[in-house]
Amino acid sequence: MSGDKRNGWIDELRREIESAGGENGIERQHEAGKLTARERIEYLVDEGSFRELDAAAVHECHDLGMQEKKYLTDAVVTGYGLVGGRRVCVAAQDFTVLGGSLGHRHAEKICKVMDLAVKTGCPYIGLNDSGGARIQEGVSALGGYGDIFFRGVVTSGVVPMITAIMGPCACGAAYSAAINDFVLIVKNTGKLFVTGPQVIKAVTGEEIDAEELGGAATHNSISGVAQFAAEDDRHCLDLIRALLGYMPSNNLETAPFADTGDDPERADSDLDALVPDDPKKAYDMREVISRVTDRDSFFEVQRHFAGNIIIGFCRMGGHVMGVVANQPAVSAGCLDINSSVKAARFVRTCDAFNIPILTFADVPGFLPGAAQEHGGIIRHGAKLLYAYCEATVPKITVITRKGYGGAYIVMGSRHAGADMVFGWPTAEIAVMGAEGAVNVIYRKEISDCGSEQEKAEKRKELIAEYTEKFASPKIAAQKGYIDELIKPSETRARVISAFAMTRNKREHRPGKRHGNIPL
Amino acid sequence: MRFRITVEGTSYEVDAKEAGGRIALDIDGKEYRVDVEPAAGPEKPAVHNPLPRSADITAVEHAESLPGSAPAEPGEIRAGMAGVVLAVRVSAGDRVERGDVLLVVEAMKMENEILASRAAEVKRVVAGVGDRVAAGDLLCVLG
Repeated sequence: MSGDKRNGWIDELRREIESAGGENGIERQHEAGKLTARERIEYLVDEGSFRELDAAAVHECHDLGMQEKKYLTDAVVTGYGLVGGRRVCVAAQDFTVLGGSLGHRHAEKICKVMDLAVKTGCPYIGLNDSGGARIQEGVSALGGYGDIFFRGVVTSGVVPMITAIMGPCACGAAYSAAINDFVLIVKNTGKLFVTGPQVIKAVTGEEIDAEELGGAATHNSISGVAQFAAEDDRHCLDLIRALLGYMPSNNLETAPFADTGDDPERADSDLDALVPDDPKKAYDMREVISRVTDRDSFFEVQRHFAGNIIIGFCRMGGHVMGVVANQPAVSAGCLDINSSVKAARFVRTCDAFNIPILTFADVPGFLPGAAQEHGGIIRHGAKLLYAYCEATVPKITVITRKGYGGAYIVMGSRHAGADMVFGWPTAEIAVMGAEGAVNVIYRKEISDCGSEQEKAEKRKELIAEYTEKFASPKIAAQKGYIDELIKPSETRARVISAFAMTRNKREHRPGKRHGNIPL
Repeated sequence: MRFRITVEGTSYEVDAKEAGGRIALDIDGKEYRVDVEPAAGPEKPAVHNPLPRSADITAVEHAESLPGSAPAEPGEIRAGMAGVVLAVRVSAGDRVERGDVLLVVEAMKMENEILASRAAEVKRVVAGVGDRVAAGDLLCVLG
């Protein structure tokens, strides 16, 4: 038999695989403003690098008419490819085939490629676009979801896992995303929820459309489920590529170095005047971050959620660091439930993947109020404290201004295990603010004063005394809680030097099954 | 910084120093002061990402704003924290641009500027200077 004859059917099979969704399906996908699964993968990976696996898969369901509807790939395209020359594993659900519905074979394919990611130590990327469980397959479909969830958990912290919601992702499927390190949602087309609008209407009577219930805006700004909102499919895939540039391929590697050409010794004199003299005046912490880190390297994560804390990746002298920073310009930079949880998750992400943590602290305290207390600020704030103390990657902290009370301890302080702490001249570290402190310490002295005017004067005098004594970084530096008091313009050089010093540090903790973070 | 330059076969020793916003050139012992300006705008820095792939990556910016579902773009501006209104910078009928200061609320030892999240007309101002507001209280309404 000649080679052509022997191999001819392979070409035919490949054609059939490519067109599994049919012309109409592809057209409808495009009309909805979406790329097809194959187009998405092609755009995501380096040109020509994708190798598909299990393309010949078909489901094994013989019930409810499904025996007539067998399509190659079983509605998901899986395989591996290169992103910036580094290997990744991908599973892209194909909405053009059976609505991207998840049956048993479909799930098996995803599990196989997740296993491959773990075995070979490369990131796993899921591009979700699926109508949900293939109901005709019944419990096998459910089992398939379960297998994916289980792998997601076992894989967590081994290789980076990223899920993009590029179409519907409902019910249990939502959890396969939630378990991952990063969730991206495409505006208008990506929908993520556990129970959809119809179910909600039937059960609670609430009327809400799918976008408002579980679209990009909702999950990026209200629920905190997603870290990124994308304008469209291509933007979403660009964000994934950019994100991967800051992540190591697995937990045994460090994130890739990139020569940014930015001088490690660069001193930015504008920083010296950035913090206002009046501690009641806010400033933009993003300005600090962008001036200290390698030029244009800051890649913010979860920008639209809990703006009182800023998280993201940056490069310092070319090396990747995770940034956690209070934002005085939003809610005074206080710690509340949402900002604590946002930062805690990010600190743990960094720690899991050998990414050192750079903290800029300017925190007036935890937000007071019954809503916060009843909402569980104690256990949620404890997550951030826990995450910082638990992290054994290099931790470098710069205290730019306020460090008050318990929030000071939480924000990457020496006590929470920071390896190097720098203080700006504007730093003020104290149990509480001057006014509050004076009212407590000198209550009697103040009430003993005769007139209201005398009281006010006494209070003013005592506040000045307290401010002079405690609202400064000097005592903290004397005690070694701050390693060095520095000029703001020197921050970049100092942090890079501290990072070089601590890069190979080893920290040993008592053995345990795992800690018990207050979830 | 020292250079050796050659002009039409003649070679000169040049020492360039920055001096008061100008550049002082010392050419074979004679000093010249020259004004220097970059010819074009600031050079666009490359995105430092080891993922070369055409120009796409440089375009990776966050979604600037989120789509118009009610929660992301509220017409009602509410207090994020309990505090005291220090200043009201707008009145009903004013046009505001995104980022304009609407009110200042002192809370958590900070004068917090409440900014307009988009360009709009101020429909109504509810809070007044000196008012004590609780988290979630209505401060003003944008059209």
